[in-house]
Amino acid sequence: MTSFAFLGEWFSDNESLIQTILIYALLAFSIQVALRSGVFSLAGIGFYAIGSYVAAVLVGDHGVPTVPAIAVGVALCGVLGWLLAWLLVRLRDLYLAMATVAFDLMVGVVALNWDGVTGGALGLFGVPITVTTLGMFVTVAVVIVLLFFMERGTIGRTLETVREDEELAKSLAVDTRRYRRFAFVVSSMLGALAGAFHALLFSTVSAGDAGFNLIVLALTMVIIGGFGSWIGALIGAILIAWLPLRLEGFSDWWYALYGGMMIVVATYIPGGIYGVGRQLLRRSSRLRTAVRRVRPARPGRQPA
Amino acid sequence: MAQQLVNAIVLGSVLTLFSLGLSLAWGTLDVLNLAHGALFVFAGYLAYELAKSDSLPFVLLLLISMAGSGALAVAMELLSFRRIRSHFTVKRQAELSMLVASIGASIIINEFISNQTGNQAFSPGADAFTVEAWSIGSVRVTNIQVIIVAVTILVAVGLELWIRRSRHGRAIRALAYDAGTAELMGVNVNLLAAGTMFVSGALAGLAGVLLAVNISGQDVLTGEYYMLTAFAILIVGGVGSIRGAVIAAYVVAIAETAVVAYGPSQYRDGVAFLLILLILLIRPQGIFARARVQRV
Repeated sequence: MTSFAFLGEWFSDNESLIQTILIYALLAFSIQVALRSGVFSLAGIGFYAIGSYVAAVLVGDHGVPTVPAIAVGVALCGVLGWLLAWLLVRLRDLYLAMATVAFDLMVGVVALNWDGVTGGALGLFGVPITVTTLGMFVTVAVVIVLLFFMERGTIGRTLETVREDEELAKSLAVDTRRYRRFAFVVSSMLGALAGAFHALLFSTVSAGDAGFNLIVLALTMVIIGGFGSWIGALIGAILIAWLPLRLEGFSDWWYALYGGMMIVVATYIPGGIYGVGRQLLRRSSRLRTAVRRVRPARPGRQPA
Repeated sequence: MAQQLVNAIVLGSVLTLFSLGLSLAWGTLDVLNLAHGALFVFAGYLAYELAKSDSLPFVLLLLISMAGSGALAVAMELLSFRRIRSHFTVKRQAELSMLVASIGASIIINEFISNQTGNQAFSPGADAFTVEAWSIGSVRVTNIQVIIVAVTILVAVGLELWIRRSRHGRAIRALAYDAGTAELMGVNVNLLAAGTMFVSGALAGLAGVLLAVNISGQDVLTGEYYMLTAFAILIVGGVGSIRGAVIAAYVVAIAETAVVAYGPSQYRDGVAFLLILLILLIRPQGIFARARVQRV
């Protein structure tokens, strides 16, 4: 019982950190899902902005209950994401990255100038705070389960093939466009979800929220954590949310420290922390695998 | 009207200088250097510091600042890009990693400049360069504006000749086409890459110092704005095409100036992004680029 009391105390001490981690995690998932499928899209940031405005306007101005408001925002961004994916279907790699960055910044420009809805440069404030940490936690857990299944089985392997070798995937009768579009839409919806939570948790939305800095932040999380899996994105989100608290003494320089970390990770450990961890695990389990290999396969687990 | 045209030409010239460096690095080395804007501001900052402590002639000030930003670009190449190029076999993975590393570098450079200047706008000041204005009819032209346009023409023509005609230029084009074969033909790829990054960084520096004098005050955000506009220019002009970059820079400058002067001025930044999206949809390889070679 005392340990639970201790947990409760720890929780209330760190609640804002946990909230930040949850929002960052969704944002990081949004970028990671796309990158893992070989879609170099940063459009999640633009949808983060759209999601946050939709949620704030629906809940704040129209009194829509929280869950439908968030659902509408996410669904709308799913549709918009599908349209954008359809528009940008011919683009690959750096060109796609630039086009989606352009999209993000366009959203910012529109948000800044559409005074009637978005509040212009001042933004929206006094949005009712209607999401709870528990609610966000459950949502993130559900998202993680979905992502877990997206990374396994046929769909996981197909997405990986689309990333590694599109020609090969095509030759195996995989409709690569459909899979890329699917990743794009999931990425858009996750971005919107993160934005909606941000708006309904911090009670404000401003046009500057989803700018170039947020793109950099999201990319940092995913690259440092590792884009190979949702685990990497989660590690990145935790690290980036937690580091500034640790490094308060260097407040002038912690942003530069991120920069240094990005250079080191990009140059020397492209798989990020997740990649390194997986390599270590694999090395330690090599022996066990070797043992397993000599045993006969159990009956009943043979593929039909 | 005439004044607006002058403004557009000056803006277009600065954008040309800026984009040429970015285009060179991307077109030949596949480096989308997001630190280009930071290098641009860094040179302006160097000029500001040099002008504060010494009374160097402006030309020397300009050259030292250019060398400074060029050296930073070379440092990035040596510390990161070179290793990425040699260790990553998948081209897309290498491009992504170089992009990320360059974002990291831009963060460090920007943070350094902001901390050193306390987030204030800075410029080399009147001691380093005295701006004089002439009036021709109703149009006001300053000496720095004339210098900017003249330097831009010189640099653009020089770069085009260098890339098209010189031995180095041919090696650079070979490198852009196929680095492996270029190396087999005796091109020192590492040296050439470092040299190309130096030229790219120095061009950013040239644009940065000239702009700092012209608008008498720049800060880290200036670099970001130019970076994003340069994206649009590269996309419109086609990556790696010098002529395309020059023409696109003036087109974008005229479009933005027109929007500011006659249209909804708050949508100035939107112009560049809209152009990017439009061009990417209609002709992703850029208007002036030859048909893109699909390498499978």
